[in-house]
Amino acid sequence: MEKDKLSTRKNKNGRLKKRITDFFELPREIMLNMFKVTIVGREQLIIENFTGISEYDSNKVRVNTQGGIIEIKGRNLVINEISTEDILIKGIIYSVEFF
Amino acid sequence: MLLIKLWNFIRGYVIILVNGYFIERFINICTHRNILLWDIRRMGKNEASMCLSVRGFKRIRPIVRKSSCKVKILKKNGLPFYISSIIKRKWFLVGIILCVLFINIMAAFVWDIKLYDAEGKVFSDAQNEKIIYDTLTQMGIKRGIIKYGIDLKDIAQNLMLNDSDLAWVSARIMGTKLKIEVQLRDLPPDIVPEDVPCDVVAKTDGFIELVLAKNGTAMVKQGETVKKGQLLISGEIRSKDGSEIKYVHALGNIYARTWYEVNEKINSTKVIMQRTGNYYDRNSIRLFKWQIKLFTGNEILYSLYEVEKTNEGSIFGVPIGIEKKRIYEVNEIELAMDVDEAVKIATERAEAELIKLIPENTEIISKHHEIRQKHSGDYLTIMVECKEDIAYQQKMGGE
Repeated sequence: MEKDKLSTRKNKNGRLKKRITDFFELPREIMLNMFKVTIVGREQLIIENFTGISEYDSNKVRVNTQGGIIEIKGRNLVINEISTEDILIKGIIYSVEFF
Repeated sequence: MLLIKLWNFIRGYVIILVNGYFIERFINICTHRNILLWDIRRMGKNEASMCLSVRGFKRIRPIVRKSSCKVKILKKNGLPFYISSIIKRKWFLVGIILCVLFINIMAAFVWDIKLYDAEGKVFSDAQNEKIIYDTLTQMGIKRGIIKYGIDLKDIAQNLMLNDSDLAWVSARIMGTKLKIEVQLRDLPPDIVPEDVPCDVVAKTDGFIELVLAKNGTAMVKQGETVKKGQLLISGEIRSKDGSEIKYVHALGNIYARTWYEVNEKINSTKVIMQRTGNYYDRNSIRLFKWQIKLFTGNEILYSLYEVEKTNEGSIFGVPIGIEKKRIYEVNEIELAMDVDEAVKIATERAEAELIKLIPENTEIISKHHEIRQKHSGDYLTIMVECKEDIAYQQKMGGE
């Protein structure tokens, strides 16, 4: 019961937050803790607000975020830089999928 | 990004190889613990290489244990590692420093003293050269002294004082070379001072054409032949009765015909040194005045030879280095010349002789070329007829 209540409150809270950010046109990735993917050409990809990587291979990278998993397929993928906030992947990108 | 890379380079970083099944886990934990990783590359199924800072590397030991990976250092990069590798090769560093020091010290000395005339050519006047070098040695300036203490103005002044023939002197230091430029004074001819009584005598033999006695008693007349040293205008003036004698400074111009003759043998053959094609090399090490032979036996093996230096064995005028000589065997070959060429060569030599013989301010009236045959060979004779002033002032008293 209590758990349910808490979740609805959290939901309410989240909805309010969303409405405020929409109204003021604030950046969503900061306010709502959403991930942001920037792709430059087909050789550079930056994901901000990620939580961790779940798989890394030269052909496939899976990145965990709050909003789900991002799977990048490609060739010669290299994690150029990784820190707590963002990850920079370089290589030839074939596809970006969201799960 | 560049700034970060530069910072990492300054602080030092390592490239490591992580081996294990949970490399992703290793990376995640590293990022969570704020250890920056970069250039992560998959190397094989269970391997990945990545870069991290030295500080980060010190903190990954628990992470390695947690993710059950193995870590191997592939390469250490960055300034601290470079410095330590340089420190390891300290003798190399010492060598570089010593080399720089050596060059600097060697450059502080004067290694060469050269004389030039005003036109920049090498000065060659044995007498003056000796005076100049003597003066320099007296002043303590010689090869091998330190160049900083040299007072160039002082050198120039001293040289001017000691050698009266010099009209202008400049001393400069160019690198390790002391360059002294001198200009010789054009010496005025010996003139007897005007208040001193003197005679006028003949400079050379000649046939007198014109007598212009400005002062004194003319002793010769037009059309007379005079010998060298003969009295032409006397400084003695006698009064009419011959009782009084007055001595004056005799002065005048005596124009006379003079003859100069030059004999030159005509060689019908010329000697040419021709290389036989045999040669050998002789190398030696030069170290200032020492010469270390790099060969055995005599330096010269041929009776007739030509030496060609292929390597001077000096660095910027400092005699240090390897001197390479190539010695060629030569043969003397007499080549027959045709008559025209032989005469031409003889004429050239004779003309050169004549220029030395005939004094300045002489008018050349005619020139005769003649080839005479004697028992010792053919001779070319050039006779030059000139008109010149043969007056020459000489102090009285039979000097």
